[in-house]
Amino acid sequence: MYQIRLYVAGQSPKTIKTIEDLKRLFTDELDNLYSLEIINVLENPLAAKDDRVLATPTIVKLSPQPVRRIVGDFRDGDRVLESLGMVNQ
Amino acid sequence: MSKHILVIDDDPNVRKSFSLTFEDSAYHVETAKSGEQGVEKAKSTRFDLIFLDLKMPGMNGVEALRELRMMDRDVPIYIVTAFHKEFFDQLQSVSHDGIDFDLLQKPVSPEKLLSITVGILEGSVSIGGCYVSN
Repeated sequence: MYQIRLYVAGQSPKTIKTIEDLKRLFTDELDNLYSLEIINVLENPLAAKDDRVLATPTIVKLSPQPVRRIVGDFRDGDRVLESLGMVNQ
Repeated sequence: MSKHILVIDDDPNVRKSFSLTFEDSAYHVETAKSGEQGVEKAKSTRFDLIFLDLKMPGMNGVEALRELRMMDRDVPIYIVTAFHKEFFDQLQSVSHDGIDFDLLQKPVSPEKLLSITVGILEGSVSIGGCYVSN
């Protein structure tokens, strides 16, 4: 079971699309075996500090370990999975 | 063709730091010392990424963000700020208006800034390595 956090800034249409795209990616590629927690940094900056988030959007894969964090443009799903170490696990 | 980055910040040390960070990179950096100047530069040049300070005299970051978004709906705009709730009130209001932006924590090291920028412009990148938590 993958435990994932996504840190975003606000709720713009682009952010909502990013969330929907990632949910679709994880559902398809992880056989739905994941939990995704969405954290709005504007409302919860302390959580971002605790997870050492430096920019939005950031994905933190908490488990299975090791913990990995990725930032940037998440439109390339294959690259997202590879950067998170979710390929061939 | 190298990608163009605009840095809008009233602090000359911050502008210099950004310029030095990208000096030997594939990116071309322009700087603006105020919100007004940044908006003017964005009228004449299509930037691939904008870093925007939140607290500035004159046109502040929120006002500049609204102006920049009216000109370009798609360019990534990163508000550079400390992650404190007291700084986020105005940004909450902008967010509720559906205006898109992202956040970059201040301060950030040159190495992390470069990594984050590559992630924004070239696709997601791992940052901070991987580690086993307790």
